[in-house]
Amino acid sequence: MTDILDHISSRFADQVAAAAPCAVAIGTGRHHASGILWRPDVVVASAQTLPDRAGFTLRRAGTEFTATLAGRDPGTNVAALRLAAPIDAALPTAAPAPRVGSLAVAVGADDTGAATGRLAMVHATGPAWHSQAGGRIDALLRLDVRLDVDEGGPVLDSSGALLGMSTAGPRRRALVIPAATIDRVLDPLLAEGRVARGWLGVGLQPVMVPETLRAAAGQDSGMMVMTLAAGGPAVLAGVLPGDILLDLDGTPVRRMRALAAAMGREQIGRSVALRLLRAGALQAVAVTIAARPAA
Amino acid sequence: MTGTASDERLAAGRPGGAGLQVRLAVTDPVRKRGLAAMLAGSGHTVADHTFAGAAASGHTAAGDTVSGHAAAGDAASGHAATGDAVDVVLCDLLPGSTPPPEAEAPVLALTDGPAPDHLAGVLPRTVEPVLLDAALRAVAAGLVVRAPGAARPAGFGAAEDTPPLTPREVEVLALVGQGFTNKAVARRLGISVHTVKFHLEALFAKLDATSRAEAVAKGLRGGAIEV
Repeated sequence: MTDILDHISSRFADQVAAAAPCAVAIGTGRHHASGILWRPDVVVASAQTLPDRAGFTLRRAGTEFTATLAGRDPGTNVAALRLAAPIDAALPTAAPAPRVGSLAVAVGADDTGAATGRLAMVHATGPAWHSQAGGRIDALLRLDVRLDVDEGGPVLDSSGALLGMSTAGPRRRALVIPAATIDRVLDPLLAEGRVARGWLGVGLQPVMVPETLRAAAGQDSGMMVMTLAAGGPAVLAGVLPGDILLDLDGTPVRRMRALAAAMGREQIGRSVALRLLRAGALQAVAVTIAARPAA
Repeated sequence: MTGTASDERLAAGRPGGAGLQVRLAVTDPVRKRGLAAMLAGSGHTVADHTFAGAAASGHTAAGDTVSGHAAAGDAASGHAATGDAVDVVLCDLLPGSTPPPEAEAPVLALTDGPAPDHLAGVLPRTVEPVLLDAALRAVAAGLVVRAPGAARPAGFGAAEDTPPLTPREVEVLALVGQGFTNKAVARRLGISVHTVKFHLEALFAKLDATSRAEAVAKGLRGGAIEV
């Protein structure tokens, strides 16, 4: 028994050691977060951990590096930092889709840039999903751990292959942003500083349509406008807080998926017809989809 | 925490009790003067020079810029205004700035954006004097203070499974967001307090919230989905 336990323990220690060169600490003010040296001159990090500033100090194994924020995508929580000078890195090979119940290691970096390790179990898996900020994440991958300063670091499967970047979900429960998602958004982030996405400038909450209005609305649920971004397309079109959005160009908007599909980058500049419920009456409003401003 | 320390903190935080020693970590002179006047009006003392060189240089050594406090004059003077320790640090937290450390005293941050979870108190910058006074005393007593609608780092979450709220739940949420108690919400809507609690339980579950403040922040102020 002891042999097996030692063997498992050594394997995980070896994997953390192997991934250590691509885990970096990123100073975020009083605290720090972790990041992944994705390319010799590019570090990927969890966008929600990085404060709103241009320059960052990175540490790996006690050595300091400086980097500038190249861009961030709140939709996928991916931030890209460009290093002042490239450093050697060997990203682990991409892992196949893991099974629920398999083991994973969340690697990060402490404040000196030394690697940290956290053993996790794959808690849930699923198909592609959309974040609250409207980004598409290629696969659902939830771990059974809560993250600390290791958020943004690489997550490995039990063979040491790369699953993706750790991200704190609701209540800091760990999610993994798959490597495929990072690969997809990284080049646009480096080139343009953001991932172009259509934008209406509204915060929405799914609501049930009041029963007396369901027949007129033709549907049971819609999205209530909770917030309006100043100067956003919805404000300019006269959308008001409390309006219940029913459909967009005839497609009912009950859930995020339909809306996200209608907000692709090719939709920017297009005028769409919103059907909404305001003060018990149906209204039609034309809105021109804008490009989501850089966060 | 020892009983004595706890008693001292409670005494400091007792409403109507003696004034607190408050350090103002605010750079804007006009804003600082306004807050100082507000504090004086509530019987508190502004301990402006207690934040001397030590803490400030500690930060420089860590390689971080700390905005919002440790103005040159403060650091240079290097002496305490009074012999008493600071009870609360009151700071303005502007986007991109870092709150002062809580090592000296609990920090009450005034901000319009999200604030770090670890801070003792977070209130909007436009807070009323009476609420500020209550919050200072609560924070000095070791409690955690949040405004009902305070934005909290919610974590990176999915949008697609947010269950729709019923019209009644939206009404309850709106009233809770305005600071109404369960009893007041019940009166407003002509329903029982029990029913209000029932709706709140449903809201907590649907919005994945554990408190009224979190439910309001998630459901009302932000909306579950941004497009």
